[in-house]
Amino acid sequence: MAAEGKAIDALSQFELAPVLGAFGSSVNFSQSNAHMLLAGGIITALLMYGMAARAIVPGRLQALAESSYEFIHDLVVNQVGEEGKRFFPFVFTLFMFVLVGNMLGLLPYAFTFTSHIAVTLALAMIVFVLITVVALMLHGKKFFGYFFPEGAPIWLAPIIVPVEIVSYLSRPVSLSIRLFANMVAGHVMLKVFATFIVMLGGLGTIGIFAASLPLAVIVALFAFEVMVAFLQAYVFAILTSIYLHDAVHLH
Amino acid sequence: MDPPPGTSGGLPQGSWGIGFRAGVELVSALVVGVGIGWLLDRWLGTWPWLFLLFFVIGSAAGMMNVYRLFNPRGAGRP
Repeated sequence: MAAEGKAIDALSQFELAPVLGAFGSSVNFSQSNAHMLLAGGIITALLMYGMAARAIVPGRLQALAESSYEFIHDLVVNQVGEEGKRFFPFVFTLFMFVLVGNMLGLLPYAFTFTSHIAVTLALAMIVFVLITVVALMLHGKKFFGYFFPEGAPIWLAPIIVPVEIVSYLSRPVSLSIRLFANMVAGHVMLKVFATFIVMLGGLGTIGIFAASLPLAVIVALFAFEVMVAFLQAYVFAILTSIYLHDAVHLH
Repeated sequence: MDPPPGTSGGLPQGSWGIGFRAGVELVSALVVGVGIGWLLDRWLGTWPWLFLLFFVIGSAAGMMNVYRLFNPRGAGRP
């Protein structure tokens, strides 16, 4: 456990361990993959089971499914415009996967797969490849004009073009680091304060009272983490939409 | 699943969020610049000149990312 040997071990929660016995260890099927499958299952179940009733007055699950659909639909249409509707399934899948992943990670004994840079960078690279391919398909060679703003003096091109290219390439990096860093920081803080409770609680009668302080902190922190879990999924979706807007309209 | 208050499909505008975003944009552009410079140097054997050049370019790109945070490309954008 975290408090063993009187040391705070906040990082072991991010270690991967194979699950499903011999089969899992032979194909490296870790608890991270298991949670990804679980997240996919939860999303599918929410949408299929929630919408099965097709009631005019929606029940709880149907209201959740409908409002998440409308939330992302409005976001994509607001950011990308009417022609962005064809990207709605992509952004919706991405948002729900990140959101359910973040929320799953907050449950006890669960694993947060969005706390691994490999996962977030893979998601961000999908976005990056998509926006580049969309921009190339819609605009062809004009896409490369994106790296040199109109009206700038031509002799500045050797400076502006590399800077613009690096700035463009930094998009998937910033997208993935933001999500990964938020989730790691939140879970490390939760683990550290949880360890404080255990350590102080072991000090006898005074310790029990002292332990109520980190307990209060962790309650507030947990509420904050729920907000961060939603907000980071939202930021991931909205930045994807902003990049898609750039790819479709090419300023 | 209410949208965060005070946004009509824009990014969250909290001071903490903006500060964190600016930091991430700065660092990620620097990481990409340094990475490109280091890889090119390893390939061409010109250490450390391209690394230094792309370090500067990466810093400039980071600054531009932060600038874009407040003044996005094109008018009428959130």
